[in-house]
Amino acid sequence: MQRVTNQMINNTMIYNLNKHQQEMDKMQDMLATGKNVQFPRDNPVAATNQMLYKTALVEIEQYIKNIDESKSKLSEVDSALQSVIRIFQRLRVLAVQGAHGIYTSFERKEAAATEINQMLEELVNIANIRGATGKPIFGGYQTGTENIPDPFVPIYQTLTAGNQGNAMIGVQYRGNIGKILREVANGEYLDVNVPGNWAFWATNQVLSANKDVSQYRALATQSFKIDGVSIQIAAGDTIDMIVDKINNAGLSVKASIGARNNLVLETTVPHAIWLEDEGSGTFLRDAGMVNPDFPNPPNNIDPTVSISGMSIFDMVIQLRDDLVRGDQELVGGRDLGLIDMALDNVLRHIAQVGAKENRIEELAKRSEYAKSNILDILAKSEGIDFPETIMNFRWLESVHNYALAVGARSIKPTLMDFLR
Amino acid sequence: MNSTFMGIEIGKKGLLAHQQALHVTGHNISNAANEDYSRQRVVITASDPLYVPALNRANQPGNIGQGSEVAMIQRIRDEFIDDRIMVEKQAFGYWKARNDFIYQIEMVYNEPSDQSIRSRLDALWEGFQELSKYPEERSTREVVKEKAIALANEVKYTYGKLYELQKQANRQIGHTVEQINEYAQTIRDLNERILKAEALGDNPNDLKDKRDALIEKLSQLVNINVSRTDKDELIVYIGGENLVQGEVFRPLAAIEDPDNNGMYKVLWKQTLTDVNIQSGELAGLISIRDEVLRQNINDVNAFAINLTDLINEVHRDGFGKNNQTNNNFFKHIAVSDNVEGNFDLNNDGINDVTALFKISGNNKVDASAAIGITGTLTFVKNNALDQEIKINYYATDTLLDVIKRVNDAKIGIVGYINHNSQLAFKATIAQDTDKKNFIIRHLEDSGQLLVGYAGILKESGPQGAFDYRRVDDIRKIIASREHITITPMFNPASYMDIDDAIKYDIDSIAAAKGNDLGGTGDYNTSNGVGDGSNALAMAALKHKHAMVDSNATFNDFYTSLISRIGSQGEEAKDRIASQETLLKNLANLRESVSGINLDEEMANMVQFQHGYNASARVIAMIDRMLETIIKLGQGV
Repeated sequence: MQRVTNQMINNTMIYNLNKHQQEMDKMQDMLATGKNVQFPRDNPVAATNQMLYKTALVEIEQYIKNIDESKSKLSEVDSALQSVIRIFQRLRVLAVQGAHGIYTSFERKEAAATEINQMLEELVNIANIRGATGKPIFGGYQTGTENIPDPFVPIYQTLTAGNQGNAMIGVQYRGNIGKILREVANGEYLDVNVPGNWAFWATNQVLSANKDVSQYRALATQSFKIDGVSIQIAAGDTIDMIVDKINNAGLSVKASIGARNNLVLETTVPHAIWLEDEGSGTFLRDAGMVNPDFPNPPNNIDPTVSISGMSIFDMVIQLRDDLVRGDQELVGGRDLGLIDMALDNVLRHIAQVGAKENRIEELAKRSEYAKSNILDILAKSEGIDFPETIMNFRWLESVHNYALAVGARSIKPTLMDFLR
Repeated sequence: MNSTFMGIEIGKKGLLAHQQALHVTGHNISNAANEDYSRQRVVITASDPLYVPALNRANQPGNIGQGSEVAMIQRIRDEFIDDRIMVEKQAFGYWKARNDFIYQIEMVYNEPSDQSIRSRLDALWEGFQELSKYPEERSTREVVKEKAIALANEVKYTYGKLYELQKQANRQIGHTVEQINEYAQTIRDLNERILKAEALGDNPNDLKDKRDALIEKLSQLVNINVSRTDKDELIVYIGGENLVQGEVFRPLAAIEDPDNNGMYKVLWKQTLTDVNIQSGELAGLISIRDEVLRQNINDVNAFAINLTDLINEVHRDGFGKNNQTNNNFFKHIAVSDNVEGNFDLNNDGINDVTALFKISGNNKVDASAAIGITGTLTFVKNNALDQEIKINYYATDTLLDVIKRVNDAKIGIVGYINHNSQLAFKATIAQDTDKKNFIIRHLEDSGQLLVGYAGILKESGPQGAFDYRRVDDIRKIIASREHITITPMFNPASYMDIDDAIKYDIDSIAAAKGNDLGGTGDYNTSNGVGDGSNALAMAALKHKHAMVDSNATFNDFYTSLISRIGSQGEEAKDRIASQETLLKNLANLRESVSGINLDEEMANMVQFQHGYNASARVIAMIDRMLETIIKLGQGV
């Protein structure tokens, strides 16, 4: 027969009371914090899941912030381009009127020229417009430094025709083609700006170099960039192979060999072509495209290259000059056509911005949905079931009470109580 | 013929026997709360009767009883239960030591909560995202700087605490060895006293209780066996070697081990040979110090150096608002004081190794195109054997296939394609000694993959091989110095900090990317202050599978570290709980045999008291009988 000693009764009682108290302590902790995992050991799988959810939550919140910010960036571009459209509607009216010979008298020409000059100023202002953070929005990465405060720099000259005085004769783009990217979802980047050499361009640009390249052979493996896209050429590549590479690079630029065996680059969408030799490469210089004295963009096209294609500003200046000259035919034919092309280009950008805004709207919805999912799963993973935990706690409490009551009775009576 | 006074003698024997029995009962009762005590019992036997069978015996029925006497005082103890308890106590001690420390490690990591390395890291990625949006602002730069400092401090703090725990475990090992020696010394002394007492024919019950209690305490500290086969010589073994043999005691010693950062090594003091430690608190402490804590410290170090290196790699290509480039983001302190990476590994004052952490090739490569060349790469595994590992590559392989093959071989070197599409190799934690952490051991290519294709080595074949055991071997590498990172000083987590260039001028944080104008092989012209693409590239490192060994992201790596320590903690907790229950049951089993039941003692006491009273009655009775006879004489 198993002997039972006083110590055993005592030990068992203490052991059980301790165990209850430990469990009650843990439940109290859970109820007080509302969390079921205090230390990874409580549930390693849940603990690591919670860490992953928390990181994912921080991440998705960042994406949502990025999306919100992208929206405002895009709407800045959108409203600036809308202003350009409004100016163009008035310009079109002027051009149509000019084509009908309304501006024949000297005074009228002067008035029209003054109005157009004002519009030009306004267009340059729009092109140099600054966003919410006080930085120009059409300059690419060039967001206003001391030496280059604005991406578009107008050039003035005193014009006697039409008594215009100091008037704009050209606008230079000093920004760059930098795409300002926002990460709007994991690995998904969205550019939220339109560089000025794309937004404010009216016609397709054609660059034809003035150098015979039929015998050209690349001396070394090298690369060059067109519109920021790197194109690799291997040593020994012929000009035909290089033209092929350019045409297959997915650019809005087509290359061809001109009548004089010269290299010709032509845009398929209106913009100014951005050329640079990369690293130690010299191809663009060798082909007579890039000025060897000023090889770095912008404004690095070799002076011998014949350039056709106009910026919006060039086009308006031409319209003004034609009006002042009273050349109805050119105004009604060429200039009106150019205005429509410029309008097309601006509208195309507005449509693109709109499309991006739509896409981002979808992304915002998706991200918010993902966020609520994560919050939900995080709450499920780290939160306790209060009713269940409280019921368990009550149950434990009553067990503990029974243990105390039974313990008190079982250690009390001894034989001594019954001896004299 | 019976003697007239024989009855008095029998009565006296009864008195004495019951008196002694009452004394033993009193001894039992007064030790009722003594946990080490085993109950004692008086063995009362009948005295040898009168008349042995012989011719001179009286001619009457016999034998004639001669009353009682105390044969011995018996200690009631089951040694088999003791042995069971001893074995279970060893496991208990082992898991107790582990549980205590793992719990503290979990507290250091402070997960899952919002104040941890992970939350600081998340904040840094966020900082880079914000910087990419407003690269021209000072405020976003300031935020990035502060987040980076917070992360670096958290890493330093975590490392410091882990190292503190490691030292604490080491101190406890020294202390435990002292305690083992103390217990063993006392057991030896008790052996001596018990032997002497038993030689005199005594029952040294209480001394044996003390000895058993010490053996039990000792068994929680270290794996011991006890041999009781020789009655005169109790032997205590640790891993098969004698700690105590009768009156001989062989002490242990904790000696500082230069191969293990001066941490204690447990040896036999006299022979200085290894002790076979398998279980008990000592084994638990050693496993915590040399495995769990070492692994955690190394992982935090790996985390620190890889984060430092990867962010630096991208950061160095970028441009600050002040047009500065080639700045580190996190501070990198090289182990060597020269740019060749030459370093004195064995501390004899002469440089003996070339310590390089990372090499990326000069050439941009298309990782998913077939390489078109065949050859064999040779590496040296990161263990004590420095064994050579050969990995073949074939013309139809892509570079990613080759990288996977290298990484799967787990040889202490990890290949990856860096953000500039170059092939890079970096070293991991060493398996043999912490001193060789983050050192690339060997690079050799029989073909052109590492040579002409990736632009890492100058020459193929053994003559072009890079090996860390030669000084100045950096000359075998064709990759430019900008592509080589020298091994960091030991424990990079302990000094993690942002680079001084950034600490003193936040405009140096390189948010912008740049161009290489003029073909210098390095980016030298900034894209402009409005460019945040380099900051985005740094933020994208969050998702890069860049951590060594596991080929995971930083977050994955850190999470798996927590999940590992959590699982270890859970195991320790569960084992402790089951061990506690087991020991409680075994203690009850022993208590059932050896423990004092007061009611039982009380009943015995009443019984012995009655025996004593009755024996006195016998004497009184004989007394009256004698009186009757004496009176009879007076009457004549």
